[in-house]
Amino acid sequence: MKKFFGRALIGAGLLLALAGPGQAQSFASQFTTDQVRRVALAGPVAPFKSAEVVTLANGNKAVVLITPGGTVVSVFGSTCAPTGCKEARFLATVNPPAGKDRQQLVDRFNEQPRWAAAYVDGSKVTLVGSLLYEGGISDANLAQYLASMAHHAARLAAGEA
Amino acid sequence: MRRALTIAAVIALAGAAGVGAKPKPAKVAPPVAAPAPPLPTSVDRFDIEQFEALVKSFGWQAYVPGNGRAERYMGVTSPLGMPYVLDGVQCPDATSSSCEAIRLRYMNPLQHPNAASIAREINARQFFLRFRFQPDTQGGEPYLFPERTIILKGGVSPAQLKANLVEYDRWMIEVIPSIGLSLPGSYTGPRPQRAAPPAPAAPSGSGLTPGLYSMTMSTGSGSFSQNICLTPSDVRDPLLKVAADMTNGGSGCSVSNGTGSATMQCTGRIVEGNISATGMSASLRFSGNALIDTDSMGGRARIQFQGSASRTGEC
Repeated sequence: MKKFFGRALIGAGLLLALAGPGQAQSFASQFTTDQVRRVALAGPVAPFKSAEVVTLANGNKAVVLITPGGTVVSVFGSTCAPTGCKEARFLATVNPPAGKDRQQLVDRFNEQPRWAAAYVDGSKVTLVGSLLYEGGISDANLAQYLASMAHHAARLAAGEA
Repeated sequence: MRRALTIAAVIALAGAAGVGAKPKPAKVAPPVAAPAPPLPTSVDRFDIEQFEALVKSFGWQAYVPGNGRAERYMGVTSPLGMPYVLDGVQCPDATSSSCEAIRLRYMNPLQHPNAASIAREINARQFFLRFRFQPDTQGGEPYLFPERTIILKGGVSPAQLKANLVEYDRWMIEVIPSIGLSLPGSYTGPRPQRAAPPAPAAPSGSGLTPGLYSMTMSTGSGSFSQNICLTPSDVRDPLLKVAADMTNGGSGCSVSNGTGSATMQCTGRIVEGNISATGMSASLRFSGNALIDTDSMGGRARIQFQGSASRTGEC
């Protein structure tokens, strides 16, 4: 009997060990500020130094992320129901160097096959994108979107497409 | 006993070999197609064969051009017959299966004289689609490319991919007629009324972005400019706002709207007027006429006017 339990425990341990790597991936089936904060600060690509959750005027939550270079990226839920939001929207508004032609910068940026789109927003440039949650979003995949926003927003702020 | 066993063994062997039996045609197993590999639960690269199977599992059609599988793109058709191209982007090397993102594009060329302003305006008012434009090197109208890029790196579920395809399809069916172009002949869904390119009627929601607009209006005797603020409710039918602005905030006037037009009935200097949109996407263009009271003694004159309003920023 002792032998049986011993084998059973070894078997369970082996199963856990085998299952471990595959289950390290965390998924979210809808927008959550927890996932965005976790990935932004400690994900596989974590370009942000701070992640603060704020409540918008419509009652929805948003996460305001700031890179060490000072680039601000906001992530907020959209297509929301009482049970949660099915879409995350990303927004970063930057101020390219004075004298830089905003429209030309934006047009050059949008020529490239990138995920986010840019537009001239008054004297500034805004970068936007969306992520649908249907089917689940993994931490690793979300990390790519966050890193992409931080990277391209910083480049646009420097006047580079 | 041993002999009996030997005989039995010989009979058994003979039976197996078919000795003494009528020759039967050999049973040949029917050709069995190699079982399709199971669909992945997560994809992180653009493997074109894998995507072909995935897209078909969504109920869409998929077509890989050429006889090889080295292409980085494939044709996909939505259940309503909308043709798109799905290609690999962010490819670290030359192999088609290494691309870390995919891009959805409309297969047919979209050419529009206002491609640049349409692309800029649509990029500014929504988050899902990404528009770019490109001049036609042959001197024709510039091209518009509404796209959606999905990052695969890190792993994406098939349901996620399907949701993006479905949403992109929905957007395209809405956007193409809204900019005055036709949906393709292969489209089998209900056809929305297409805005006529020369004088498109104001689409519901007009497509304008709320904000501060610089409006210029001219008549035969002069022109003037002023800023107007279009709120989210104003952009549903901005002509009402323009008409109200023309009539001093609408005081003494009643303004009614039709489709892409508005009618003014006033008791002040403007007696009556009509105004209609002549183009509305990135900016508003309008024209109309008004019957004005010239001398407060019964004199009347009808004036023609035209104008435009372009967004300059936030209110």
